[in-house]
Amino acid sequence: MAIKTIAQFRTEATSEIESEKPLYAQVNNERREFTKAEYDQAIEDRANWKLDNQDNGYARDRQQSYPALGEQLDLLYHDMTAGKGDKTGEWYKAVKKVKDDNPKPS
Amino acid sequence: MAGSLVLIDSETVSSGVSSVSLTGIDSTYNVYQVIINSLTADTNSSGIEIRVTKSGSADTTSNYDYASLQLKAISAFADNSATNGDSWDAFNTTGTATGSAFNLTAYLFNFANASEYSFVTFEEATTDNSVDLRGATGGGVHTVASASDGVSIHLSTGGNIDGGEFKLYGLRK
Repeated sequence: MAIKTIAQFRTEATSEIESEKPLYAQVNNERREFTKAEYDQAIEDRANWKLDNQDNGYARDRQQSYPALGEQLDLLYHDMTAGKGDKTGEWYKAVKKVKDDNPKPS
Repeated sequence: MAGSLVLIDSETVSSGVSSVSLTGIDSTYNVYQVIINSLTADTNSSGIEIRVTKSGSADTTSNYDYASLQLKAISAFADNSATNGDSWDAFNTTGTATGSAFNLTAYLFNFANASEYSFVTFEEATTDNSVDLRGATGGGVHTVASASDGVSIHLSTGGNIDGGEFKLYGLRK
């Protein structure tokens, strides 16, 4: 998937927010429609969220998928004991799977 | 001590809104407390974000620093921090599954002091898209020396907050 710029995400966000109108804010127990400034900010927020997901989402997904540290150390111990401290070991395979399942965008 | 919390603002969301504001902070109290009870979202992976308000409007300038520890019941804990963000994006994500909800207690310091930065400390318990538990604890600062009169809560995805109770209390001096 091609890397997008913040300008491209802003265009997408503008279209999305436009289609989602009206948006509301709750203030002082009243539900009122967004002001122009709030709509503009909603577009900026949506664009930044998309950019962050593109640039950092894979890292967050990997972080959640890696085995717990203790589990990884146990895998390493058994790999070393079995003489598999290389790419044939279970630790390497487990980490590689997480990385492969959550590729860095390029 | 009985009667130490004074309710300043209370918002109950029962129909989708993109943001909720709690306002009314002034120099009456030194410390204020925010409680969010069972915030539900209409979009999966919605991170909760908070901004301070100045004269009732959310301050969207890039002056928010935060650091938190995310405590996950099913995976490794993780650090989450940033400087010069445009909100306190320090919280876990929730989703649309039945049982998904976001709950927060936060304390606000120096908000009414125009010559000090506005600080926050918080604790959170959330169930995410998969209804797995995530906790978080941490703090933040808005690095602008001006008075803040409240907080505005929205979702990172731009989705709607579909429900929840939002309360702002003053801590009696």
